[in-house]
Order: sequence, then structure tokens, then C-alpha cells
Amino acid sequence: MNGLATAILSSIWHRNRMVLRADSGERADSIFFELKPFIPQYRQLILCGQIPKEARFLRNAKFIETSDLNTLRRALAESFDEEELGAPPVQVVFFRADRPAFNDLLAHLDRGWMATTQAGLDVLTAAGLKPAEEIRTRTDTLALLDPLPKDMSLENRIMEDTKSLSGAIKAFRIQSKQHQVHLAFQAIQAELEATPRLTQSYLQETLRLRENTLKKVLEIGRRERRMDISSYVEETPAPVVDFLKKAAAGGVLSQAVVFDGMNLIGFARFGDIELPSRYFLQAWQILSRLETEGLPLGHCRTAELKTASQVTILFYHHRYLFGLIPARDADLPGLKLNIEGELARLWGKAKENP
Amino acid sequence: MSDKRINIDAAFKKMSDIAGFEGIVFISGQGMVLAAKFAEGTVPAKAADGVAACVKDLEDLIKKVNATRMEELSVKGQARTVIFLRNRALGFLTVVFGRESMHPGLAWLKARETMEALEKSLDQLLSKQPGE
Repeated sequence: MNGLATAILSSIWHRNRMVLRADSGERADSIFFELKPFIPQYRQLILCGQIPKEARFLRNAKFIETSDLNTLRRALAESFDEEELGAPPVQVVFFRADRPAFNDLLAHLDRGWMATTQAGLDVLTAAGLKPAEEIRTRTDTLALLDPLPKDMSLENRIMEDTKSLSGAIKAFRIQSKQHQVHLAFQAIQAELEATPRLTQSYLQETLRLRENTLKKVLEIGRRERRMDISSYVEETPAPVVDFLKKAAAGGVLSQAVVFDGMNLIGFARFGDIELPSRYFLQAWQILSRLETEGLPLGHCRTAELKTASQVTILFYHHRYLFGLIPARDADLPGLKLNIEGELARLWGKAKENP
Repeated sequence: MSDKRINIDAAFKKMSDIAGFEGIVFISGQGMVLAAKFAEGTVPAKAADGVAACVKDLEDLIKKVNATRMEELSVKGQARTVIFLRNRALGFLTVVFGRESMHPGLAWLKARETMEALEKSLDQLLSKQPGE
């Protein structure tokens, strides 16, 4: 059951098209009300068709009450166009859709709608709307017209975390995550305009997002704003990811940051110690200043700093700057040996592919 | 703390059997150079002031992050190794300079011993009665 709920949540969140079918119009409409908590509240709800009485009390909903499908099509097209200009993303709900509604209106909208209907599968097929997935109960069918999103791990985690909670709390948790993702996308857009280089690690750290949540932010943003900014967000280089995985194996690291010049290109937190990455960079910059302060160090390569609260920070510098905090119980000499070996391998690779 | 109470020659002599050792500097809690001595023709004397300024900045940064102090630090460049060690009781830093090949473990050990010796001699000074 949780798997189905995950699929439905994910489909709605990704603005996939969806048809809610039942034997009676009332029953089909009632499925919409069951799914309503899954629709992000920041979206502009546009209700059309035979709008049921109870839907008239929905907050922030717009009603387009015309039976002229051409007029409706123009009105909806305009709403979708406005999204690109910064208007809230639209979620269209068409109540009691019939054959002409599917043929002349819904079949022309590529995303962001759901329809309640009594019509059979043949009506959908005739309109060129072939379900990618069907979720059936004894009396109802949910036809998901678009393939399920590839990565539903975040949705799965939300549903798993909230499975024993009340409906109201579950709705709160879903909505707060959806809002966080929505706001994060806005922040990234603004940051892109201000920063010449944006890395995944920097966004993960500053927005406090896990890797898969950040990917979700970019994907939902693409679906809602028709704007693919993922290519502007630099991923951590594969050899660095590989290094971090190997260096942290066995739970020996608490935190790792990797800088390319001033840019954070790798970030991982494994334990309870959390140091803002910019402090690693600042500390290294101070140490590198020793050279200009009249102490001929030559190229500065490594540093090991211990604080009075027993935090050790290791710095390694070559093409990138690595700042590492070992776990409190880590065997430091063994760890350093391992890291130096892995770095030698990494830098060997870097030399091959400069 | 006055630099007159630090026997820099004795400290230098104690450290000088470490291979690659080049010099030693004592820095106060306020970031002032208390005493410094370098082997001739190795480290420029002005480097001691530069190191003291860097350490002060570094300590300010560490305090900002986790309200603590730097206890130990080693910095290795291609030409030189620098070891810092803070004595908890005395509150000041010993900085050992050496070539890149200087063994850091040995330098830590000797620096700790030097600190302890200094701590002992200062205790004796302070326990002396006036006019004694």
C-alpha cells in the first residue's frame, strides 16, 4: 500500500497527468479529495468541468466555469505560459471529464492535470492518452498517464517516515517537504544569477539538502518551471566521489570537504561533527600565508591541526584541497596512511587527465 | 611572561639533535614572539613574527568555530616543516622549524619535553620568596 501511495505522491509532485476513474461521478470526485493532501499548496489549483459543491470551499482555488472547451483551452494555455514568467505552477483538476473534454482539451496539455471521470479506458485511448501505469481497487482505477519518476527514494522516505502518523501530520510533513523543495529551487535560480560557478556540494551544504533531495529539487523545478538548470550545477568529479567513498570506508571519517580553488566541489558528513566548509578554506588560506609572511615553506602540501576539544583536522593540498575530520575513535596513523595512498592514486589519475 | 625567563639557548640546544631541525620560537598567548633562535643561514628571523600573526588568526578562527584553542599543528611544505605545540599550563606556543625531512613525531616529543622543562623552571622562579 505504501508503494502505491509513494507512486501517487511522486506522480502528483512531478505534475504527471492522472485520471481518476470510478463507476459514479461522485465516487471519482471523492478520489480527488483523498489525494488533495499530495498536491503542493503553493500550486495554483484551477478547477473546471462540473465542479462539485465541496470543492468550492478549497482555499486558493480558481474556478473556470465554462463549458466551451476552446475558451477553456485558451485560458489554461495562458495559465501554463504564466508559469515561465514566475506565476505559481498550475494544477488543473477537471471534474467529470467526458470524451470531448479528453479529446479537445486534456489531450493537448502535456502536464499538470488530473481528471475525474466515469469514462472507460477506450475513451482515454481514443484521445491518445495511454496509461503508463494503472492502480486498481475493487471499484476505482487511477490511471497514471506518464511513466513513474525514476527516483522516488525521497517520496518513499516520506511515506515510510509518516506511515504511522495521523492524516493531518502526514499532510504537514508532505507539504513542508514540497515547500522546501520549491523554495530551494527558487534560491538556486537566484544564486545562479549571482554566482559564476555553482556546485552540487555547495548547494547541498548551504541548503542543507541530501544528494537525492537536491536532485529532486532540480527535477521538480524542471517540471514546474520548464527550466532545466541541472546542467549549470556542477557535479562532484567522479574520481573525488570515489576517493571520498574509499577514504570514509569503515566509518573512520566524520566530515570531508574538497575545494577546487574557492569552489566547494565535494562535501560529505558522516558523523556528529559539523564544521562549515568555508572554515576549512579559511584555515588553509591562513596557513598558506606563512609563505608570504617570510617563512619559505615551498609549496604547502599537508597540515594536521588538533584543537583543545580533541577535534583533528587534516588538510591535503594538490590540485584540490581536501579537509578531513577523522572520527573520534579512528586509528589516526592508519587513517592517514590510507588517505595518503588514496590521494596518490587520485593525483596519479589527475596527472593522466589534467 | 618575560622573554628573559626563557632560556632560549638551552631550548635550542635540546632540539638541535633532531635531524633537519632549524630553529625554535616561543609565542605568547597574545601572539607576541617571546624568544626565537634559528640555526645560521636557515630561516629568516622575521619569519617568527609572520608565524605568530598567522597563528593568532588561526586561533581566532578556531575559537569562532568551536570555542576552543589550537593545541597542536603541523604544516608541511616542500621545503620546510613547522610544528606548533601549546602548553596548557603556560598557555603559550612552541614553534619548531625544520627541513621538510624533519621527523614530526620526534619534533613533537622534544618540543613537549622542552615545554615541560620550561614549566618546571618557571615554577621554581615563582615559588622563590622575595629577596631569596
